[in-house]
Amino acid sequence: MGIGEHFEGVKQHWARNFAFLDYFKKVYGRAEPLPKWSDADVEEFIASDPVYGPQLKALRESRKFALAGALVGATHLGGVAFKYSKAPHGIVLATGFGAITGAVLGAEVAEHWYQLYKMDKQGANLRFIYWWEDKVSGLFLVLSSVLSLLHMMIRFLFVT
Amino acid sequence: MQFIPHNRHSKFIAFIFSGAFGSSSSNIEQARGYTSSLVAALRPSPNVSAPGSRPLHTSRPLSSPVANRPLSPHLPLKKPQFSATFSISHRIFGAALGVAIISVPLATKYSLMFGV
Repeated sequence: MGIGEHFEGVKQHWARNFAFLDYFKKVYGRAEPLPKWSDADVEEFIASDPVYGPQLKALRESRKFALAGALVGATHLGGVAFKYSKAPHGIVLATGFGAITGAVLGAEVAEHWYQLYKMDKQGANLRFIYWWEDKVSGLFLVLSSVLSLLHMMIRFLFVT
Repeated sequence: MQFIPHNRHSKFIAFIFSGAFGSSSSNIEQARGYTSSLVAALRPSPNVSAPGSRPLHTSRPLSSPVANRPLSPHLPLKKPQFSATFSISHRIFGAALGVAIISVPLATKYSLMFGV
């Protein structure tokens, strides 16, 4: 029927438009979460990949900008609230909101400093996730095969 | 005393929070104690004497016995009407929507930075 094909086309159109959401499924929505990586692992990947390594490095550097902006914003707005109002909940809320806006401003500064708008941020993160997946599954395969071999040997020894 | 709005929404929200915090003194209770002790201050009292040195709000200082008095029930008695229910649910939904609109793009942005 033509209307069924039409709706299939509509669904494919919206699936293509919302394809950026697959990133979250691959990074955060795994059935079995990947083992946690350390900064050294990320540095290893940055050294190994010539295309996405520098992008990931720039992304990680931009964190410092965001944190610095959050500190500046929090102290400024919290200070203003402390100076003009003695309400403690107001000071806390103002500090929190100042941190959020300061972090956004810091991230925006970093975006233009490192030209992050030219990079594929989701792509850089995903490349690391794939690299980590391959590395870890290799480890898993080696470990599981060694364990199964040991298991077989022990059973063999006990039977005879 | 800070500005405390006395509309029906604040009564609803205060009713919710008074259930959460028990019967400890809250701003609404202090405010209602303030209004009822203002009524008491209209009667002639010994402290109101010199013209330039009138005490600011009441003749009695606000102390803890004021806040421990029970309130007259309003929400448990009045049958919830469509207009009031719609109004407060509209406010709650608007607040939730505001939080979502602010927080979802921020979370998306920072998950890219802090995810890996």
